[in-house]
This record gives sequence, C-alpha cells and structure tokens, in this order.
Amino acid sequence: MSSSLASIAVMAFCLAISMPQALAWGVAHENSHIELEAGEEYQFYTSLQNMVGNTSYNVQVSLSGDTSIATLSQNQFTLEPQTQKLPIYITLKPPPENPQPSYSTIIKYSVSPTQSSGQVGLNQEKTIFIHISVKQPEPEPEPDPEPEPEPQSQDQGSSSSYTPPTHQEIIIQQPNTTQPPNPQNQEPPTTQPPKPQNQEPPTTNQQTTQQDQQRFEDHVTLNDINPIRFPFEYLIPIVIICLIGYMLLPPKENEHEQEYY
Amino acid sequence: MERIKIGFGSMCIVTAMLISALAIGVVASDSHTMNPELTVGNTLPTITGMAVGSASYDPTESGNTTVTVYINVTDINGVEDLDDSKATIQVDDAATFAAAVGKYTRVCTPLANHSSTVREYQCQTDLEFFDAAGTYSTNMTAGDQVGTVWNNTDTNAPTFTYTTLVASTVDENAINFNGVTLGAANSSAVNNPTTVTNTGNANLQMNVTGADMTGGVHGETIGIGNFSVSLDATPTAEMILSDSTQQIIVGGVNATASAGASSTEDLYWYVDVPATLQPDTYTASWTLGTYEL
Repeated sequence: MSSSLASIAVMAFCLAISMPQALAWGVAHENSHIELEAGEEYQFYTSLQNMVGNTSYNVQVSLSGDTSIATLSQNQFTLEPQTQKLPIYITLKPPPENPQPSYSTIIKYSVSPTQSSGQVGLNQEKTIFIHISVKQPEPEPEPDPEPEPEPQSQDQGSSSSYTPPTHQEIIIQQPNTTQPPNPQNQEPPTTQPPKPQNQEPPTTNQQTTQQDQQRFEDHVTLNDINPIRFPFEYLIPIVIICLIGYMLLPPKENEHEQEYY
Repeated sequence: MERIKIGFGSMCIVTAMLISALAIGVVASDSHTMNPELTVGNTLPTITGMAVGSASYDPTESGNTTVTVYINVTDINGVEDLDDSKATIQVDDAATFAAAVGKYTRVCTPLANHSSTVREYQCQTDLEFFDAAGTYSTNMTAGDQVGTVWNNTDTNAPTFTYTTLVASTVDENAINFNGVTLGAANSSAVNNPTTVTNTGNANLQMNVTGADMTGGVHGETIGIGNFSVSLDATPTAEMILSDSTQQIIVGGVNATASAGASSTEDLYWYVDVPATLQPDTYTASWTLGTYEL
C-alpha cells in the first residue's frame, strides 16, 4: 500500500518539473447541411487552424457514419503552429442510382499530445456532422394539351430565367495591384462578377438634376412668351384718324382770334 | 363747338403720341435680350461598383478575421470633390444594419483613382472569432462635401459567408492523481479543473472516452468505472466514465461552452481508489471531444 502511494508521489515530482501543455486548435467548415443530386460530386470544405497553440500537432482525420459517399484524400496531417489555414476537403458523392434520401457523415479530427506528462494523457477530438439530402429527380413533365393560362408570368418569376437589364452600366475596376498579400482571403474583386443590380437607382442628386432641367426649360420658355402684347393692328387706323382730325382743325391764328373774339 | 374741335384735335395728337410711344416701347421690349440662368448645385456621388474580396471567410481561432470590400464611387464633380471620411462599410448577418447590430462600421481608404470621376476604395472590417456563422450582408456609404449616399436600399449588395469554427483550448493535456489513499472515494485530480475554452463561433458540447489505467510494471489495471467527471469542485454529482464515448452530462446538465468572447467550461476529475493495488505507475489515454450543438 505504501509503496503504491510512493509511486504516485514520484509521479507528482515528475509533474512538478514538467510544464503543463495546453491543446489549442480548431476546425472551420462551411454549412454542414448540403443538398446534392444523385451522382453529384461535391467537395466539402474544412480547414484546420492552430492560431493559439504554440506546438505542432499530428492530426488524424477519420470518417464514420455513412462513409460510402465520402472520401478523404488524406487522413493524416501535421498542423504547425500559427498555421493560417490547412484546407482539408472531403469529397461527397451520393450514388447515381438508388440513393438514400439522406446521409449523415461524421468527420472526426483527433490529436494526441506529443508530450503527455501525466497519468492520463488527454487526446482531443473535434467532430463535425455533415447532413446530406439527396434531391429526388423530378418526374418527366407529361405533355399538357392545355397549357397553363399564364406560363409566361411563371417563367418570368423564375430566378434562373431572369436576365438583368442590359442598359445599365456598371463600373467595376480591375483588381488593383496593391491588394493585401494574403491571396486566400483577398481575391480580386473581379472574381465577383459585376452585378448590374448593384447599380443605384436614381438618387436624390439625379432627381435634383431633373428638377433643375425642368426649371431651365421653364425659364427658357418664359423668354419666348410676351404676356402683354400691344394690339398693333389698331395703331395705324388710330393714327390715320388723328391725322385727319388734325388736318380738319383751323390754323392756330384763328384759334387765338376766336379766343380774343 | 369750336372749342370742342380744338380739344378733340389735341387729344388725338396726344393720344397718337402716347400710342406711338407705347408701341415703340413694346417693340423695344420685345427685342430685349433676356439671359436665362440655371444654377446647378454640386452633385452627390454614386456608388457604382461593389465587390467582396472573398466569397467566404473563416473565423480565426481566438482572433479576428479581416473582411475586405472594394467599392467604386463616381462623382461627376471630380474625385477631388469626394470626402473620403464618408466612405464607410458595415457588415451584418441579420442585414438590418440597426445601430446596435451594425457595430462593424469602418472608414474606407482610397485605393486608386481610375478616372477623373471614379475612385476605388478599399474597405476593411474585422469579424471576431465568436461572431455567428452565416451569410453576411454589406452596406457601404460614400459622400462628398454636400452629403452622403448609401447603398443600403440595394438588396443586391455583395454578401459573403462566414464559416463555422469548431475550436477550443484545453489548458492541460494531462490529468494527474497523486497523494491518494487506497480505498478513498472521490479523490480529486491534483490539476483539477481541466478548463475548456471556446475559441470559435460554434456552441460546443463535450464528450469523453475513457480507458482503464494500467500499471507499467505489474500490468495491474484500475477500471475506468472508478473514474468520474463533474462540473463542480464539490462532487455532489458525477458522471462515471466508460471506455465508450459519452456525452458529458452531470446531474442533467450538459457540459457546454457557448460561443462568446470568453466562454469556458471546467471539468473536474475524480477517482475511487481501489482498496488493494500494486505499487506501480498507472497510465492511460483518454479522449476529450468537442462538437457542435
């Protein structure tokens, strides 16, 4: 009994001179609910990270669950300290014929402590569950002698048949040469196809310009309009009448005479 | 009668002169040059192009991930009219961009002038490791000395995916028992607790797979059923370990470490020491697992 205790005490002494070692690592992955067609191949993305830990790990990757549709190209990886990304892809492919409606595949990443310094060495696992739904093939459309009353509107509502307007113009510049150095996270913007929908609808300033244009037209129109126009057609007769009346008047001398008279 | 004739003639003359003057005046007015004036104010710029640097970003374990968005801003008054301080980016997974939610607002920096009227900005913001996975929307603003425009009414603004990160740290990779007394129940490991810290953005649960401890000299074993785990320093409730994988549930409570800035779970290990045991060094290898809820 006492010797047993002594043995454990020796172990405690050994522990005192060995630093505890932390395990720190992670696995990033995309959405794990995937819908595939029968026979469709898909690469499920995961990546290993060791941003916190300062030691390297031997990582073993294993599949369980529905493994018939999943393939690992490699199952052992070394995860170095400060590794930005260690991508690991799992190929998923439901059988082309008679697939199950769904599959569940489990990916397990395991690391073992490289320097276990205790009675119980703690391995560590991280598990990801992938759920695959298999699209059922759509039945062949039977010929319909009487088409639906509004097939065109249905087609227009389909996103796959939508054609963006072509009259819009968008300016997407080429990727600049001063982009950040990390090519994994900083793909050039041209990898994103320009979206015409990104064009702004007419903004406030454009509306203001239209209003200004209208004001300009109004202003120009005012220049062409004579709101008070003199009736020239009456001028000449009036002048003629007045001249005739003036000619009918007696000389001024007579006027004076008459006044004096 | 004569006086009337004189008055009529004078009146006609005066009238004719007046009408002539008016006619001359109207004719002169009709030919007068009017100068139309139109004041066009400074025109607000427009956001004419948007693109994300990558369609998908991974969280960085216990750190930040920089998201980059490029925008082109066009100002017909010239790029010199742009106010660079008004070029900003916001990202949000709920796409509401409410003030309380859209906290990741950063000022963009000019990258290049592609013409006299088009300037490209590089906008970067950081997502933290515990930010939720999913699809994030972007919202950009740009402006000049007159005002600010934004694209938040544009439902087709670029989006990106923030992936799920299952990550954790375990502060120690070993469990050590010493100073135990043969036959003692619930002897605590000397390095209790084992602290699991969530360093990703997934809500984590834990499981453990045990194994018997085996003496290195005599080969005697301590059955895994002698070991237990608890979430409490006082082992009022424990989960007995086994050599199969068990989710850690103690007293009906799951061991969890939810996504968060500092989310941890402490695991306490105990052993019921057998009454008879050969002196030896006993070791084993157990597996502590974490997985998404």
